[in-house]
Amino acid sequence: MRRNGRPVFLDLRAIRMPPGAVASILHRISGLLLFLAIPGLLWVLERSLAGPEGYATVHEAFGSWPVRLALVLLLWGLTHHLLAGLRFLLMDLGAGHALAAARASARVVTAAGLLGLAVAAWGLLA
Amino acid sequence: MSRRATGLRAWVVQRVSAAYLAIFVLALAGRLAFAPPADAAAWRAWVADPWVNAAFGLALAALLLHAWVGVRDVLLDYVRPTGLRLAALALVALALAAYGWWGLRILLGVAP
Repeated sequence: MRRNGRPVFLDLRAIRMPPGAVASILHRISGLLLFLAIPGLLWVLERSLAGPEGYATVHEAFGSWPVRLALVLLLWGLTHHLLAGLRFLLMDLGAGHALAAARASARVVTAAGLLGLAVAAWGLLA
Repeated sequence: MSRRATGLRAWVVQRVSAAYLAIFVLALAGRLAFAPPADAAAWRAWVADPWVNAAFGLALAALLLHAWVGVRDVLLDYVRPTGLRLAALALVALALAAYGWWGLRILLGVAP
């Protein structure tokens, strides 16, 4: 809701997205994904600790395709969020502020996340 | 110097919880990947171990705090209408509190 009458420009297709922007928005998206996964993770923890039947139920669930797909997505989310987060922590400590270094680290983090996605997909879906 | 809401506390909470979670997740992943518990009983016994149980408990607390700071940031950035924003924040807070209670029951329910 714009109350001050000033112009708005939010055409995402026209706004440039340098590597840092990509790493950053993926960090937010992966964070939200992980947040939505919390009840699922708690369910897995609960069932797996509820004795041999519960453990077996979890094992069985992990065998189904939709769950495996979700796991692949979550593993990507975790990988990217963790690595991008570590990048932010290091920048908090003063490392890698210069434009070249920041762009390089952003590219590495995003690439590593995609590598994690590929590994997870290969491991769980192949 | 006047006291103001600078966001410093949230920033510190987010960073400290992040550091703990990073270590916990990597340690857990390592354990599950390289020395996984043999069966249901072994898994239960491990989580029931006082130190491991405490580590899980701290991880749960860290996760809920970290998630709160993060999701709140997102809501503050993107949900402009005040009433809607407050409702969303309240819902998220309730959800996280409920997860906390559930997680506590799970961890305390694993008798050593």
